[in-house]
Amino acid sequence: MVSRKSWLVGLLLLALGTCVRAQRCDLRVSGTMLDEHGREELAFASVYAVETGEGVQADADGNFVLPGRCPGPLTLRFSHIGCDPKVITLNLQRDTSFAVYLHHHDNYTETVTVSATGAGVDYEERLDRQADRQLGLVLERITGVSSLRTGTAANKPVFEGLYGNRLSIQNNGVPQAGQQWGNDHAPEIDPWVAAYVRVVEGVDALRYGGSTLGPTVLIEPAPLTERTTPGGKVAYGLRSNGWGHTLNARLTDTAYVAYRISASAKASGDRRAPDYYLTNTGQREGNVAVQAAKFLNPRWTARAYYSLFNASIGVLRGSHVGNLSDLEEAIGRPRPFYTDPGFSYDFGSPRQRVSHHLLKGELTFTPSPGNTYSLLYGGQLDDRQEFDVRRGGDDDRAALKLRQYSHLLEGQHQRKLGDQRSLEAGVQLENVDNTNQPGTGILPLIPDYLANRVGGYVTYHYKPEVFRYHFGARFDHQYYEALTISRDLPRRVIRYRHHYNTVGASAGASLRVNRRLGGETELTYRQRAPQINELYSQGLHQGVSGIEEGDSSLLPERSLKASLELNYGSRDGTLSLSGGVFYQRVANFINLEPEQEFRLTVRGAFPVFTYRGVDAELYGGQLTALAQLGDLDIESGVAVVRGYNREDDLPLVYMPPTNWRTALAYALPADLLLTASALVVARQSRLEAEQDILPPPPGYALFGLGLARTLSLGGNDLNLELEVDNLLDQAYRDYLDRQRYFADAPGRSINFRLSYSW
Amino acid sequence: MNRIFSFLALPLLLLWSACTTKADPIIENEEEVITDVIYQLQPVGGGEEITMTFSDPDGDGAEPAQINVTGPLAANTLYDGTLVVSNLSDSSNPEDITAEVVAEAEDHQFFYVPSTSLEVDLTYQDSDGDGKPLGVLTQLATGGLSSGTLTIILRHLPNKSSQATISDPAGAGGETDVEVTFPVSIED
Repeated sequence: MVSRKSWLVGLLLLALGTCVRAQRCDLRVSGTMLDEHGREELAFASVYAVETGEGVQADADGNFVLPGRCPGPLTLRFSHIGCDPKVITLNLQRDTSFAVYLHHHDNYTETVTVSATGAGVDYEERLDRQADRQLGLVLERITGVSSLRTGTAANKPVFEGLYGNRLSIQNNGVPQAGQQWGNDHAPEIDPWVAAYVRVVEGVDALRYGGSTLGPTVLIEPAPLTERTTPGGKVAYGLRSNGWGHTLNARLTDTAYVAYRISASAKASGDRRAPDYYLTNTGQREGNVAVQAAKFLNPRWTARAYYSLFNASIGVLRGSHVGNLSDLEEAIGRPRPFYTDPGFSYDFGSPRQRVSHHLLKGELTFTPSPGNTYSLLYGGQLDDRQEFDVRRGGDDDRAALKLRQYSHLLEGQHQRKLGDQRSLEAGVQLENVDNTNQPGTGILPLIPDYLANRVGGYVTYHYKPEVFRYHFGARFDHQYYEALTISRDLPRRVIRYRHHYNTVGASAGASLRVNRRLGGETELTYRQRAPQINELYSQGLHQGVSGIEEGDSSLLPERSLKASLELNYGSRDGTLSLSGGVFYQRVANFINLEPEQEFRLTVRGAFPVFTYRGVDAELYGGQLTALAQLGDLDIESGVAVVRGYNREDDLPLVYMPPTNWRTALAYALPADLLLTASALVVARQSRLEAEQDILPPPPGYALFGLGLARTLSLGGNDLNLELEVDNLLDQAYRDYLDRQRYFADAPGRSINFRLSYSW
Repeated sequence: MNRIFSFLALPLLLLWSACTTKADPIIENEEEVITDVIYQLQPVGGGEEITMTFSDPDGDGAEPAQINVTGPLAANTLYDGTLVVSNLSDSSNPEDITAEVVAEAEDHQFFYVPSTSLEVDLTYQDSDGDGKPLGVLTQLATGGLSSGTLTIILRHLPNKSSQATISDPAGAGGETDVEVTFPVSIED
């Protein structure tokens, strides 16, 4: 009894104590905001106290102070331009000081596009939840990014109308190899390893090599830092459409070096359009990645990365046609040829098999704070085999067999010049050796070639509080040796050599009008050397029933792009709006154009397409909104792009139609999160009838719904998620899907996902 | 700083000079290609044989294909037709593709599509292991004086149970390996 009474008294005292102290709101929270690597202070970053709705700004050194805090729970939201915001919750009892690390893309702040989807979930977790999708579909969540597809088999990003050779993809800082062979090859990257995906442009993109007319897609794993703590995660996902199973695992630990091992395995069968199975669209995938970092001393850091991507991908059987009459017959059908009535995990030809190795080593030397040298090596081996339906039981003999070795050596220097100025310079050497493996019995579409590139860049950033500017330049020398095989008889090897010099320069400025309103503008001039497929493609492209021919006299593309963006962020961080417009003019825009005549072959007459340099213009805009209304998070983005060939006033093909994407997240009691998504894609109405064998498909709208719950299991997180894609089982075809002639896109899929992290 | 740049300049110079060359690729032996299609028509009761030839040894290359018909068909006559497809892209190693097609008869079917103005009737004279038509051997019956074209089509993996007939491949599907058109006239 006594003990009970004293217990009650104790509780009362405690409550009183809290009350008393609550009235004494004199606690002080202070700290420093740094980028994840701890290398740079985040100047003028924002700190927002959610409970009281107050905000402060960090000083030029990233230091912040929040005086006059009451004891008790305190939720702080930290944000900085170009960083992923971070929310920290603490139970305040005394004066507290700590460091906050935000993921920040090196020392860049401008023109960074953060992926938009289901707010309320932190960035890495958001990407993890999409690990059972194709990388291209993950990238699509960025406003302005669409994807160029080959049915369910391949998926490539399109940004502001640019794709393929005009949009480089950097996998962990190394230009992804094997992407220059054509548009039916997806980037060989496992989304499970990727923690950050972004698109950078202008000055920020100057440091990256790879074939681009400006923008670059960055795909990066979460970095290992000195603060990396041991942990791990396993996840299993099931998708009802295709009965796809995905198993992911990740382990981070420290033993002599900090390391992380990631692995994924995927298996799926025939996908289903609302009215029929998409026969032969199964896939298998097995990937592994190892990351290691050794922090030798405060001055030296060594990093290593290795990844292996392995996939076997079935291509819709009914999309394989021999000539134009076949194609015309396939177009008119209610369901594709060779559609099986049942589901199967097995798939035969046509199919692709690819294995991609990436080995990267990086040494960083920081002799003094704000002064860094780094040396990077990136080696890649891409092995690709494509199997067609062939006569004579030759289905198991590849119709295309390519092996490509590429090496990149890069030296980089970053130097801070005082508080607000920084300089960066680098030199890159790249060597690509592409060989068609013998034994296919078919003349190769892309010749054997050797490509050497040497390039360098310099950028300068000035980042005071209000008016910032940056500029930079880049130069590349590209050498090619192509070994083509003559198409006239007798067949013989013809060697071609090319040297191209290209320059790029960019300047940008941003103005922070006040803490809510800002704007930025950028002007970029880039040149792009023609790629091997544009110079020397030769042969029949079965997917499009046309003969594709390169032109070895092509000149580099020359592009000038201007963009303007306005950003608004409400003081409490619950509303942020961003809108931008761009105009891009390209001389020698290398365009695949139909010739007037058809070429007569034993399989009938085929249209001939040749690569030709034309005068093109692209323009468009995008608008993104993020809002928090109580427990409801809204993210919405719309993107518009137009492209024209100014020589004949015809629209450019494969320009994404206007699209609008919205994601809602609503926090329910009991740690439940309800999500909903909508995607509305308009019809591409800007093509002339003679530009395609089939008019662009009608617009469509897709809806999704999801429910997620996080449980605590032995102090660790167990996350359960149920979602439905294409909720209404809408039958649709996408203009950017090269298989839209043959079949509908996949229908509804109910997905279940389970993950456990420690 | 200067030292760093001179260090970086070294491999740069190496690369400049290393505009190396690559070994010659192996020129693939194009085994599956069909370059020549020959349709021989022999009058059943004897008479002048007519041969239709399509030849395009460079395949997809820019060299135009050669089409040749030895003469007009006779009116109201029955012809035995034999089709030969071959690969003559390598003149030292001619390949008979007809044998391959016959060996995989279930996976192949020829179609003979006359233009509407041409008065001819065609029938299959052979079949595959399943009793479905193949079309290497045919009979062609001419009607009255007329002229037009005859298109010969070879489909790989068609649906042989579809509604398609010898002169109407619609619905058969498959992948077209051959589609050649000859000008044909019927005279007295």
